[in-house]
Amino acid sequence: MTSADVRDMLDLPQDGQPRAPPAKKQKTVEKRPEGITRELFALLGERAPPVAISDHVKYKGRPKWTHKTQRWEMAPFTNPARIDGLVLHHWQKKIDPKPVPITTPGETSGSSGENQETKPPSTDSSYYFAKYNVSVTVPEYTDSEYEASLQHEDWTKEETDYLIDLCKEYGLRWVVIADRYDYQPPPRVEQVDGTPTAVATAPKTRTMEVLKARYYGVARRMMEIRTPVPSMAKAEFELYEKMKFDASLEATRKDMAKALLSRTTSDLQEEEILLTELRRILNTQDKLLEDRKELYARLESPQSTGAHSRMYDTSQGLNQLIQMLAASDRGKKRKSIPGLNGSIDMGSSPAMGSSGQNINTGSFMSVKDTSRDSLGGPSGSVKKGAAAALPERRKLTAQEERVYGVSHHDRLTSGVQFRNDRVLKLVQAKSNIQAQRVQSALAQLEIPAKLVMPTARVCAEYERLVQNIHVLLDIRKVCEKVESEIKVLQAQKEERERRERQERGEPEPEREPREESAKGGIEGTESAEGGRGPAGQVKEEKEEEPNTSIDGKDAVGSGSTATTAATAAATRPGSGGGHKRSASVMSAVSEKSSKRQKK
Amino acid sequence: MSAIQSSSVPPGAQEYGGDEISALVLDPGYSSVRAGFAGEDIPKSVIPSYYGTVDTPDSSEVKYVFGDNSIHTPLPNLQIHNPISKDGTVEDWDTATKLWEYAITSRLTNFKASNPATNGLNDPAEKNVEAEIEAAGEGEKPLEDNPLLMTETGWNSGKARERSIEVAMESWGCPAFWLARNGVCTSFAAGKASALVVDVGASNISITPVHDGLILKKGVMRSPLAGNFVSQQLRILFSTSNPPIPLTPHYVVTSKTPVDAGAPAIATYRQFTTPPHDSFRRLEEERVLQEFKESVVQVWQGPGRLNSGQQGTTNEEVVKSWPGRPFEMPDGWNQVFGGERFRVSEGMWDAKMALTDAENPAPSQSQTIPALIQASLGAVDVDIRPHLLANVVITGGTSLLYGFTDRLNSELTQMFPGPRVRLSAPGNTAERRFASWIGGSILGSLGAFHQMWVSKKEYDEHGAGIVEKRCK
Repeated sequence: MTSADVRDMLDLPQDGQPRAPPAKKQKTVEKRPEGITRELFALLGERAPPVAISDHVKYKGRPKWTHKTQRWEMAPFTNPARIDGLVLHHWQKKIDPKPVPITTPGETSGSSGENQETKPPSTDSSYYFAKYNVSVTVPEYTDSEYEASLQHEDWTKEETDYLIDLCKEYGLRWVVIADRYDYQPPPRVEQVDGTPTAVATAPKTRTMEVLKARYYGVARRMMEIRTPVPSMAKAEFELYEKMKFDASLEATRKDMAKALLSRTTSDLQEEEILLTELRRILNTQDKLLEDRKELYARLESPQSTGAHSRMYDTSQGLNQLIQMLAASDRGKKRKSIPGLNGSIDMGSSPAMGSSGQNINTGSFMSVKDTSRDSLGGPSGSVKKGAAAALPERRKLTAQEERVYGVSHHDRLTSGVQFRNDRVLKLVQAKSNIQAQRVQSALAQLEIPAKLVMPTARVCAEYERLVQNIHVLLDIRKVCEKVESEIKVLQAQKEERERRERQERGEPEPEREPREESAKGGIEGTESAEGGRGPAGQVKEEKEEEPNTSIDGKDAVGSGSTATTAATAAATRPGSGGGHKRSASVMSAVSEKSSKRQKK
Repeated sequence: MSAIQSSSVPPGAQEYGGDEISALVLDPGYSSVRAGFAGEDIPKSVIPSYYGTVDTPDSSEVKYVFGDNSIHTPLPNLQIHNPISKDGTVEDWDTATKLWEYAITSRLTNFKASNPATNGLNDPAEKNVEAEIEAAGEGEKPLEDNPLLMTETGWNSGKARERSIEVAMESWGCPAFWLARNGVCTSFAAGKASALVVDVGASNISITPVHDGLILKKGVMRSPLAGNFVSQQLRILFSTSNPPIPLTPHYVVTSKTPVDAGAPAIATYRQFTTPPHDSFRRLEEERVLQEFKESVVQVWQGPGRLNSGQQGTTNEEVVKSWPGRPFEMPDGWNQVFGGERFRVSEGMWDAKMALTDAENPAPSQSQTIPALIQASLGAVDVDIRPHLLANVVITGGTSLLYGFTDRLNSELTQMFPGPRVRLSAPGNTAERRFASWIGGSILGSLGAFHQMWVSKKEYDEHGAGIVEKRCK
């Protein structure tokens, strides 16, 4: 778009050209219409008036009614709900007299008009509001029936009648009945000074409960008499059941309602506070249960095989992830997520997603915190800090500590670890062949690679067991080496002896005793050479506690490794066991022989 | 099209349940009588209950004057009376009948127009026409065509009730009659079948618990601390203030000149050769006081009472610092009224705060409105108390005092913190003043009500006692 276009649009002259003067308006002289004075026309100016002046005005035409106007009359009517035939008048549409039927010549036309004049008020039961005349049904009884079954020590028949009448009159509105109940007992006739005198008895004041009890008692009794209970229809029986009335219960309820009504402001406030508290507790309880459920669901979920989350499988990986998230959180400069800053993340399971886990970590903490003993994780440190802050806290006995799973640590590594992780690491730490051997040893012991119930104690035992297995495996290795050396040396010795014998020309001697001594000699040298090897240690242990302890778990003390190993070996059937035993026996033998040699 | 109610089409009976039979509703009270046709929304005829008698020395006949136009004219020897006693029931039945008849016939009905061919008006004017008309009207009764619904107080005596049906049936020839409690009518006017009606009228405060359209007699409470009590408080206030405030009614002032606030009035007063009776002056003073109540008097709206308050200052001191309200007496005397305008109405709530003098001892605390309501609720069943508190209907002219409903609300919520308190007070002054008439108008125009009328036939059969049996 060029400037020329803009100028064109805005109606400006092209560059350099002066604006052309506006075209002069042509003065038009309009013709003055008839009937307007010159002065008035001049006032109008050039603009036409906004309203057209026209001299023929059209008014709205008269509406055309097609129907005849409705006639109304003040008509009399009676109400069938009344028994006295009161005639009242109201306006109603006049009903056109029926089209006069073809009259027989004998009839006079005046008769119809006469009929209309004397038309009686419409007495048919068509009065719309008559249907609202309803009344309740109250029990009825005869004198004999009353005598037979409705006697009551507190009620006379007259008063009962009065009550029933009142109920009928006020349609069982008990509030009104109790308000209006005003029974005046008939005066008793008493003999005073030999002359009969009427003495007015004081009317009883009856509460609503008493009145209700009497009425429903009568009503139930009469229902029973009219229809025996077993043959009652269902609706009838329900009504019968409903009419059971407990006056004392009702009175108690009313007392309580009264108390409820007369609460003071402070009572109300207290109640309000309690209710809010309750609501809060219920809310958080729901949330807590939900969180716990979710945690369980996560723990039970199968191990994720995705490469994406494998790097976070271990606790180190998790720690790394936490650091990463915390760093990104700091970077965002937003409100930090609780649980991240303290590098606490117990809830991050291998299967966790990248989002949503942060929110839950805090609550995981709160759940697990109480039920779980620390594994060198920060929850333990938190506890310690809390204990330091509150020195007056009760000291737990050893048994309680065991029960609650409290453990003490000198030093705690940061981060959270799963026991299963640690256990797995124990098995996998060494080389592949070694790991396989350990696993096969565990398999022989019928202990699964992944512990079913990794409690602290089980883990500790397991750890010890695995360490012992390692030790034993080491020993076996050494033993095998030594054996092979012995064989080589023996072969060398035999060779030499053979050569010497050949030189001396001696015949072949007895084999047995020489071999034993030779063996001892070799062993002695071996032990002398390698210093105090593991075999020696085992021996010492053996001498202190000679081959008795069967239950390895009960063994205590630092040197229990050997015992455990021995026990494991002892309890273990099969070739491995034999092998092991042979190793220890062999070492014991060698020790003896070495001692003998020293002597 | 059908949404717009055409005047030529009656509403369907199912729609509003009305069936108008041109019944009349008469609602007499201490200060005014309300009368009108059932089905209308406001009474057509409202006349004061006060009437005048003029003794003419030359004849033994006493001349009665009724209606606003007549009783305020200072006729010589005019005496003002009220047929209603201080407790709101009829004292002087003969004049009450005349007064009510005036209320009905002056505006609503009249003697039936007879056939123009026979009424003598169209005859050649030879005979004494007037005498003939009088003769024709002699045997007629004013209400032969109209059933009459009358209201009464909750504490009306059985004799008074019988008397009222006698008046309606015998003197007025009603075809049917009904006597309704004004508390019930008021709750109907508010659209409620159950309500706690607080009626603050001229002579009486009344608390009426209504349950399903029936009053609970044991719960009806009343006390005289109503409009007239406030007027009396004003009189005490005027006479005890220093200098005393002159109370000059309108009729004695012919001209006045403006004066400064508090300065004595400069006015010319009217001289009477035979002045009206003192009762007339009292009535006229009451009119001035009514004007004062309408324009100046206020009720401390709460919270708390006028003599209570927070931080050491009472509410009375608080209201004293508020801007006052000016009032000018008919003679030109004028003044700005500050805290005292709250004081005069405080006696209705707190008996200790009532102004007293020698003739007017302090009321008892049980006569105050909160105590009355508490007593009334205490006398009814506990199950309906919360419902009643949620349906408190306020009526009566004195309840229009500025701040009255606020104060009542604050008193009730303080007394009953637990249940919900809800007041129903129509903002329209006519609805507030005439609520019982309006309720009667609703009741009398209901189709379902027509089975309840006590008919002339029933009256003839059972006598006046039927009203006790039927009108509960």
